[in-house]
Amino acid sequence: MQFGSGGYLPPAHSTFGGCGLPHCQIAEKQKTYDNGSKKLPDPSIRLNGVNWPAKIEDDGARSPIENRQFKGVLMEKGKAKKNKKFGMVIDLDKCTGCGSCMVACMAENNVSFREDETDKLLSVTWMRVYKLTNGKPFPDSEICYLPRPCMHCEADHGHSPCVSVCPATATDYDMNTGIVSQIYTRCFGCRYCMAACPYQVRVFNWYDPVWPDGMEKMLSPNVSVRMRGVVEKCSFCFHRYQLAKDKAYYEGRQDLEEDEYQTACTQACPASAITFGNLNDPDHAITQIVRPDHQLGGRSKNPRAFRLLERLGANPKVYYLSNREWVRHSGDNYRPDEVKL
Amino acid sequence: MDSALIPKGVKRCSIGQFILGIGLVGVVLLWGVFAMLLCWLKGLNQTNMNNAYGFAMWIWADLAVIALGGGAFFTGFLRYIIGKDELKNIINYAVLIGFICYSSALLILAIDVGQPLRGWFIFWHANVHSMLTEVAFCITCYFGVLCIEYVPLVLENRQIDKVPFFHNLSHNMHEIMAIFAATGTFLSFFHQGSLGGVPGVLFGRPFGFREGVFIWPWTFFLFIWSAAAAGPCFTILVTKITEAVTRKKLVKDNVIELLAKISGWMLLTYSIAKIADTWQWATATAPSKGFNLMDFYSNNPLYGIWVLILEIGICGVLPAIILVSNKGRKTAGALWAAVILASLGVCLNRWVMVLQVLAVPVLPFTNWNMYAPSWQEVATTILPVAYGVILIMFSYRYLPIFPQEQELNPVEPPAPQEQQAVSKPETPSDAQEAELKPAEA
Repeated sequence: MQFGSGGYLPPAHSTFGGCGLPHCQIAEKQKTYDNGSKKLPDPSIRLNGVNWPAKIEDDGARSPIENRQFKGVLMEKGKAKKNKKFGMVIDLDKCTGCGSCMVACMAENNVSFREDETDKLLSVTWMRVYKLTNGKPFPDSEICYLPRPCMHCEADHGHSPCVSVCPATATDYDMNTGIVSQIYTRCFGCRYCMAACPYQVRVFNWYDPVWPDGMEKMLSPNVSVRMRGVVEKCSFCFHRYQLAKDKAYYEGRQDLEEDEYQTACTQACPASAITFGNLNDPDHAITQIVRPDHQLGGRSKNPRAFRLLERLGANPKVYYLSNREWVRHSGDNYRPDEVKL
Repeated sequence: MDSALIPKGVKRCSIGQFILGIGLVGVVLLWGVFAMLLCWLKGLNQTNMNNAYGFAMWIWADLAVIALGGGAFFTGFLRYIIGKDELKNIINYAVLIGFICYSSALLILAIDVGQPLRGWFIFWHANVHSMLTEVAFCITCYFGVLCIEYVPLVLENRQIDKVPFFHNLSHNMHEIMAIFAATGTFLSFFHQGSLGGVPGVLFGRPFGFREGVFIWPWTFFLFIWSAAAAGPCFTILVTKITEAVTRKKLVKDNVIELLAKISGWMLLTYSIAKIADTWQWATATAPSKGFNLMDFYSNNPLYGIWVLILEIGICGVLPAIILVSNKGRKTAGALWAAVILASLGVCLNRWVMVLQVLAVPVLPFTNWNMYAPSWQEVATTILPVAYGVILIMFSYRYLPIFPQEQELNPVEPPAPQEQQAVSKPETPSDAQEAELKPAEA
């Protein structure tokens, strides 16, 4: 590995063809290493009722309907190839409310805290666990713990509630990963995003971040510490994604394995209640559990699954699972005439 | 001591009384400045805002003063674009009130943001999708326009006006004021609307969210409308308060009545539009998100249905009916009540559209968020009021704000000897003064 002004390059990069730049070298290497030869496989895609070859040759002889389908295939292929959509599914029937996810998140992301944390509305908490009850008296009373990270809403074309309102473009929806980012050094603390977020995910640094003496040595060098007067929130441990990408790049790979990028809360959960992955990758566990319908904003086809405040149309990428109807019902607002439990 | 600075033909209180008044208001101003410095130096932990209440009293104050300052753009629009000539007798004061309101809004914003030194990011890294971006650009530009509108007034000070350059500058600025009035109207329409869009686009907040036309929610238009209706009411109210404090009639009744009549019709049509909007929201928009109307007005210690009745009925329809009726406008008590109610109504509307939006629980397993401002928030909100009073005191004392004041309050003719001295200018400067008459608004 070489560190310098130009970053680092994979070893023996000059043995590959292409334009000579690292991205071409990686692409060439990918073809050779993954498939054993320099030829890509030819998986046919069945879409819109038509079998389209992976390598599409345009002879121009298509009806208008076929033409639209042809373009659709091109778009789908491009999307499947490039875009990821990271999401999370949390099995509420498994969650014990232990709070490990909260602790792991705070430690991983250098989340600051104060000596007096009695006022939770002033606390900086990226992952918060809510306690839900069914409101019934003993012996019918039930409780459920609901961990709530950032929902990384997609809404329409990435216009998630918070992203579209930020006046300084300090928060952004990444079309490549589906992650809503927060640029701390650009945020000037107007808090419009906090007003826009219905999940109360965004928190403001009301105080200077101060750690007890010596504890600052425990801070992660991969996550920048936020200053007073800016908004912060869960990033799906984006720095882990960057580290995993760096590692893959160094090893000459373009794509990550499922387990190479996992959030801290996912790994810390002792009950394995949290599953994290790429919702656009059918091989990932999350996709198999959630079965998202991308035509309907990612709504789950799994009858056990639901999303918080589905009716608002924010299209969050955090899903919840429960066999209990009252828990699923707790995820959204309903008029009395709509649902009766 | 300062008689040379006071406009001719008008009477002002003694300098001692004036300084005493400035001193009293100045104490309040200093209290606000102290709170402001605390917020800047120690951060926004000095407030009672929290993660559930990211927007609170300051944003309400911003929206409220901008709505109340709407009298400047709408009176300017009526005077210069529509051609209501009588309003030239109140346009100076409307501009001054607008100037105070908008400069106050900018000051409050500077305190409100977590990182004030990064305030320029809103221009540098502007997000064209954000309503706040549009607000920032338009408010800043319009404040520039208000400065341009206020400058000729300052140049009309008796001593400044003696300088030929300033006299001519003032005159020429008056000549082209229609251009600035039109610019101001255009900018105002957009930022009043954008402020309405701030809660209207929050599709994650069913209490504030509204459908609309293209990218503009209905609140965009309602905010313009309400500012155009209530802004002139506030101008009338402040004029009436000034008249009460100075114990003088400063603007003729026909001017006040004309502005009140136009405001009344604006308020009446606005109230109808607001009722229609509320009906649509209560019966279609909110239910589609899973809410009934009463979900927004129950299970909390403050926000009951009375808020809606007070805002639309008592502070909307009632003053509108008073102002559109000839008798209501001509009855002093009714006029006072109407302009006070209209001003309160627009403030209440802004409060609701900022604070109640955040108070209403959206997640089904959370509760109402209640908020009471800290003394620092109160002090910094009163700070602009004190600043406004001081600016009005200085402007009233030294500038010809009210063109009709001299006519309405003739000063007793001076003793014969003094009259002789006045009629015969002895020094060159006096002669020059006699030649240069102040430019007319």
